[in-house]
Amino acid sequence: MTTQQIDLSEWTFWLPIAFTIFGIGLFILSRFWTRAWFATFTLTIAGVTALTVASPFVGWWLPAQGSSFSGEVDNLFLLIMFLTGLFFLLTEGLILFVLWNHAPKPGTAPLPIHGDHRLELIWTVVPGILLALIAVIQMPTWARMKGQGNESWLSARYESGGDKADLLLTVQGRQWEWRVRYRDPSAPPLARPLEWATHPEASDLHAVNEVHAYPGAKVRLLLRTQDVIHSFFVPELRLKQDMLPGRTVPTWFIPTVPAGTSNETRWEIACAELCGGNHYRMRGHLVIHPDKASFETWYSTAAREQSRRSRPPETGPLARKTN
Amino acid sequence: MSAPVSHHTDDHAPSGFLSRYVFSKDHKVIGIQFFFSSILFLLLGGALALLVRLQVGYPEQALGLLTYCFPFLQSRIPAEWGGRMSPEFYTMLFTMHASVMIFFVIIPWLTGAFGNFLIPLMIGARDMAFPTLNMLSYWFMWPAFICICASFFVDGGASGVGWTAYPTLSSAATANGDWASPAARHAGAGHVLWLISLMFVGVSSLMGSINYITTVIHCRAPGMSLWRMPLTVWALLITAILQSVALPPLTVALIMQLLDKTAGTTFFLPPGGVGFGNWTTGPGGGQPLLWQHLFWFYSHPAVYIMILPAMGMVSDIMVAFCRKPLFGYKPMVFSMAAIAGLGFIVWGHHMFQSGMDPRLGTGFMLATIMIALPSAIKTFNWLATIWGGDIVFSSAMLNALAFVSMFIIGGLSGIFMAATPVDVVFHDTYFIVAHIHYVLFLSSLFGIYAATYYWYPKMFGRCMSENLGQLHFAPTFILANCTFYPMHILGIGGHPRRYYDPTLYEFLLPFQSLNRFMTVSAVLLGLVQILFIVNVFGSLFWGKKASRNPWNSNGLEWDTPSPPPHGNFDVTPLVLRGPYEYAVTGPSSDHLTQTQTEGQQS
Ligand SMILES: [Cu+2]
Ligand SMILES: [Cu+2]
Repeated sequence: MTTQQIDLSEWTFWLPIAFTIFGIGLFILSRFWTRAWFATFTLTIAGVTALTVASPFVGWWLPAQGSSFSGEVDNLFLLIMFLTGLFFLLTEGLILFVLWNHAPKPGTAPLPIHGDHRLELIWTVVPGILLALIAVIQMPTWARMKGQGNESWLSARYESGGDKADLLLTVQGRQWEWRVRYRDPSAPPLARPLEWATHPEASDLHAVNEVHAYPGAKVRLLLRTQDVIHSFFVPELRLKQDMLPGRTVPTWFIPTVPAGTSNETRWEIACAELCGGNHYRMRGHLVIHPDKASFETWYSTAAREQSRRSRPPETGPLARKTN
Repeated sequence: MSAPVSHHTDDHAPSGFLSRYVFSKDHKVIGIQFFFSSILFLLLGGALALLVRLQVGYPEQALGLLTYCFPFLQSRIPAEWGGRMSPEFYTMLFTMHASVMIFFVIIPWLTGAFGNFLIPLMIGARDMAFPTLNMLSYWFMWPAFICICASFFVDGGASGVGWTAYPTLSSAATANGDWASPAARHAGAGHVLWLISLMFVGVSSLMGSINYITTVIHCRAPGMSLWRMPLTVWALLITAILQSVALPPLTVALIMQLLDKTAGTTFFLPPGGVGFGNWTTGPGGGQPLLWQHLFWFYSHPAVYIMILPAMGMVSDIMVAFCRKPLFGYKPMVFSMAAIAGLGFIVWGHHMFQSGMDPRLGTGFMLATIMIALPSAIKTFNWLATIWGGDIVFSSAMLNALAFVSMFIIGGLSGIFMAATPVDVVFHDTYFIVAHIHYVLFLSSLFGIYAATYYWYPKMFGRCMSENLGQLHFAPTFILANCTFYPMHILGIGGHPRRYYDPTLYEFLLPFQSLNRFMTVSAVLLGLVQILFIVNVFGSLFWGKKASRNPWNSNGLEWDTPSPPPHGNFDVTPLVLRGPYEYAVTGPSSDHLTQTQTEGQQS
């Protein structure tokens, strides 16, 4: 698919060289054209703006949305993108305007102005209001993502609350794999799910590097680690949570898939916190079955297989390239 | 204590070579010592960065001849990787890149080099308040230099646990005391040296900052009231206060981790201990999260330590090259003070996903969002300063303009991470890498370049080449954006940082072409910096001789010969006004320096 060796004919190689020559050309131009520096700044700022605007159209953008809160997070991202984009265009535009003019009109001189109270007030109050807006508007989303999923932001906190979950599982990180343990969905709900995270039961289903779920299931994860800090990251879920040695950190998600999906959806699980040399190979998969029935079929098959083996799975192999 | 302390140095003008250039107590020589050691470490940090980029851009490329360029590379290329660097080696590269750039380049260059050189000159003092302490602050850097350089060659190599050194990856130790770590190959003796090295840097900075605070409070020339100080001095003063408050917790944390590592304490080990394979540590008595709190309590303010001095210097440079007074002097000072004050209550924004109580996250989010406000105020005041100015496109001015236009990007991208739900996505991805480089490379380093071009004539009595300086600027500006801007896009796509081979992941494959583009840009960016190095060293010998005031600026430092003699001023200057009287009808020019009486010929 993509070559990993240095390919001199690819745009990634010749374009930076062209930009370097272009920069040197702008320098030469600046020796006899006073607006060459305006051109340098304008083209650079236009370039980064163009890349940002074009990226979504060439597939360089947010991953697919795969959880109940992913849309909410993306909207917040787009809102901030819009507001900061406005400020970016305004301020960079003003700089470019100054660079274009670069000198007062003939016969006039710069004015000895030391400040202006009204202007200071304006550019303190207006950004202040917008920032306050950004601050307030995100609180409910944060509360939903980190809390039970239905509380106000005041009570947002990590809770065990496994009784309300459809699937309860412990993911334990270790160098360099995810060890997954499911609580039997047909078993009676636990009074203290956090305790279960450290006290396995015989009916638990063990797996390595694979988390299975189905659309609409409220999945509660109890994150633990055996050795160093890892971070459970599924880009499509917009979910990332560190695993702390000595602690159980609960988190949750409800997977969603596009309507009419009839196959399994596979997303990659990545480790987002440096955890040693093979940090980058700590890859797992989140498998979303098309519906609850097919998940249950998978679960009972896996449980039967486990009882035949009668012991938890061995350490899985380190992730390898599939391409 | 009415006479300025610095007067004591009068009688001690240095005589021999050693006391003049090596163990000098003259603030200018100490500043220049910091200046040159920072440049040397910039080369090391840059080389490490290029190796990092090479690996991320071309994960399957063998190093080939490059192996022989770095002596510490040769022994670290295990056969099973077919001439490629090993993943463990890669962790060392980015750890040491960040550590070198932060603790040995940006902080010493801004506060050590420019802070030392400029503060006494700009406030009209003959030297620092404590010259011997000042000398010590530089010589305390040398154990740090030696430890950090030696760490590359010890068994296991230099530290590879990230510059943040999160336990238990960094602190886990085997019981037999040979420092080999059960958690990572690069967390043994090299990491112990890293901890010791940073402790020395911290002590050095602490001595420097106490000296700066005392000097600014105590040694100002007659007439130099606080509200007549240039923004550079204000920025360095506020930075020194930040350092003196933030460094002690870091030093304590470093000592705690050093003890965990070497003496068997368990400050950062949880009560249940941790296990690696079949080997388990004993029970601990601490918390890994404690390190993160202590570390970020220093390292968030450190971000401002690395940007505030540049902000101050860029303000002073811009007024000189747009021939207009600074717009909003007091708002500029107040917003710097606000950044410094708020800077102490936002550290938790690095820990939104750490497992910290999410309600705490909300509190840190509010403070973090609010800290964007003073930065916005500063930006608008810079814009108003250059508005309608008569702009001189000197190398210094171009770099200063780059600072402002790029700080806007770095500042705005910070708002994304401040928003807690969005940070869930961006935390520990390339978006953060982009943000930190827009602040530290495209802002701090451009500010450092601007200050170097601007004050070099005062430091060495010769000007840097303008042609070479501008030839350096144009491709640097473009290539720095090519190298760092696409990292935002990678981050939006969820690309985790610190990955040895991102092509292992299907969701990252579409981004690999951008990775290659950034790598080629980075290599070219590195090559272009040779022009700057050539300019710095070549101008020492071939630069045009500098007059006292080559830029027609107002600050007191331009009242002295270039370079200033021991003791700085012929007579103690009498300060009549602030440093921003441009666009006025002066005696012979369009400005009034801080000491000129109106009508007096300059
Ligand atoms: Cu991990
Ligand atoms: Cu921070």
